[in-house]
Amino acid sequence: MTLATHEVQQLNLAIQAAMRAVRTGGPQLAGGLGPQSSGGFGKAGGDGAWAQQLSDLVHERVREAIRDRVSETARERLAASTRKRIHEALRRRLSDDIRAALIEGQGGPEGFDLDRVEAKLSERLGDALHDRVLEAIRDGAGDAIHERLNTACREAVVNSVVAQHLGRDEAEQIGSKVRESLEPELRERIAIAAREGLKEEVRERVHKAVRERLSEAIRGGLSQMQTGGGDPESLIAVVRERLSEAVEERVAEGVKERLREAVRNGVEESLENRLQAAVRSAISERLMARQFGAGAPRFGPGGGPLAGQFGPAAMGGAMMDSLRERIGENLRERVAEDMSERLASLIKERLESAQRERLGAAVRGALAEQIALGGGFDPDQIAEAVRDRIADHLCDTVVNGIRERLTDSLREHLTASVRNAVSQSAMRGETLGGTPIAGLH
Amino acid sequence: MHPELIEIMRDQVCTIYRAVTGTDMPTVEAADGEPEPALEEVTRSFAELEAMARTNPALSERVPPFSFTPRLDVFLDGEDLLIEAAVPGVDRKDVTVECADGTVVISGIRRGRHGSNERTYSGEIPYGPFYRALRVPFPMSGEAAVDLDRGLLRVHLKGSPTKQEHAGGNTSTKVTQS
Repeated sequence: MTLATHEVQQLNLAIQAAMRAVRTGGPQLAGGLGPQSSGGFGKAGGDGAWAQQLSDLVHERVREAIRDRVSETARERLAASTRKRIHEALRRRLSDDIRAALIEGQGGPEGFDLDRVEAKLSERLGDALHDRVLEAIRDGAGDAIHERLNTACREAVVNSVVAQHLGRDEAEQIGSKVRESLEPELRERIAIAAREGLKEEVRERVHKAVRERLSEAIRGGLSQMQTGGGDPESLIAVVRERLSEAVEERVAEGVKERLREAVRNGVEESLENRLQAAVRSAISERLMARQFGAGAPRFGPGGGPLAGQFGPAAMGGAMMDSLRERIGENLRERVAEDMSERLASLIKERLESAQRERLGAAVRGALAEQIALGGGFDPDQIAEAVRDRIADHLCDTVVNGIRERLTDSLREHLTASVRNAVSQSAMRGETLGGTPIAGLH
Repeated sequence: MHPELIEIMRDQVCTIYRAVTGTDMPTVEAADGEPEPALEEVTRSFAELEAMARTNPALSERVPPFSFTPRLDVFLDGEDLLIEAAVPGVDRKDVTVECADGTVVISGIRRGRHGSNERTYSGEIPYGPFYRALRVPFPMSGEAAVDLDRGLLRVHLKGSPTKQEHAGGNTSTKVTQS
């Protein structure tokens, strides 16, 4: 049968009129959740209100679970990984730092100056260990929280009213979504909280250990050197051996204590800022997915030409894809443009600052070391010595700068990108598949 | 496309319009010389409108879902198969049952309350086109008997004596239309 052209034309005009009405939000949509909005618990009030009700009921449970399960484990894991990193750093660089400090200690007006050696060694070691500890926290925060956070979120939701209303599978998915949403924030907050005051703590601990052990270690080393045929390396080996454990112990202990508070604060801040929105968003998303997926077949292929054409799952999928692409495009454009300029100036600025702070001392130290060790002016050795002194610091300074700038920039642009993408979609009538709707332009 | 689908789609559009504006869809006429839209383009626009309505919680609860997949119960009685499909509010004349190539296809239309001046206060029962296909686990023989009673469509199929050897098959079964 041939369809009358007039009927198709009429339908098309009616569709366009309805679309305009939906986009502009008619009086029946303004401010209300529909006819059932005053109902009690249940689906009354539309999916928005229902999601809010479920969210209110479950988010406190998730909060408690995370507090109970995540904080302590995260602290222990981070403490273990930072200790390992401290141990590696000491093994790798303590001999060099002792050697350099001993050389610099000999350069005073009154000959060998133990206080100067102590100060120089503490300073070098303090900075280096602080950098390594920060690195360990940054790298390890994700692993430290991931497993427990996942279990805590999932079980809290599965044992809540959500599972009773939506089923266990949906509850597990909501738990996973909450975890996905919280994890980056938690990781970041823990790292930020751990950074505060950490430098002083590490420096103080290093200084204390060096002050307590250095003079006795040098005495032991000198006597060892005398009995060992005057080899200065035996002095360095003894000092290293006696200092290493004490420094590791003190610093690791200090970091562990600081982590207790840092992890707790980081977790609390994240929960405060993010949890409610994360739970609400996860529940809304699942409710929407359920709505789209309603009526899915239990047997056989189901669907078919008509259901495929008008089926809500197809519509939702296409719309999500379109929105996702648009948000991604917005984000790429905004962040890429902004970051390319910002990063160039940031890297330059950080390199200059690091050079000002460290390069002169590194060159002086390297030259002094070469002279003291009788190496002469071998350009390769001097280059290596300078590189050893500043490479880590340069790298850390630039990487930290980029990380901070990137975090700021993403936070700044993400909201704007999503908002912009959604309004672009609405303005251009590209709610589905990115194709403009005829007659609306 | 089902010949009456255009009318049912228009009903749905009007329902959405009423749910948004609180008023009936005004009569709109095409401007002179406006090109006639292709049916495919119109159905796509309709799908977009439906998606917009579905994703707005305040609206979706006042607009019944359009198109659906009927739920089925399938019973085996010896060599016979009984399929029951839930199609509430559907007239027998609006249902088609086709059995071919080892698959039973049930399709049709559930009409809305066309021409009514009522406003939908809450719409949860889907209407519009429906479609369900079911692979039958053995060859069918003879005639499929179809009846519709109290919202349940029953399709009775006779099994073939050679069903143990069947693995999908190409047997075609006569369709009963009433």
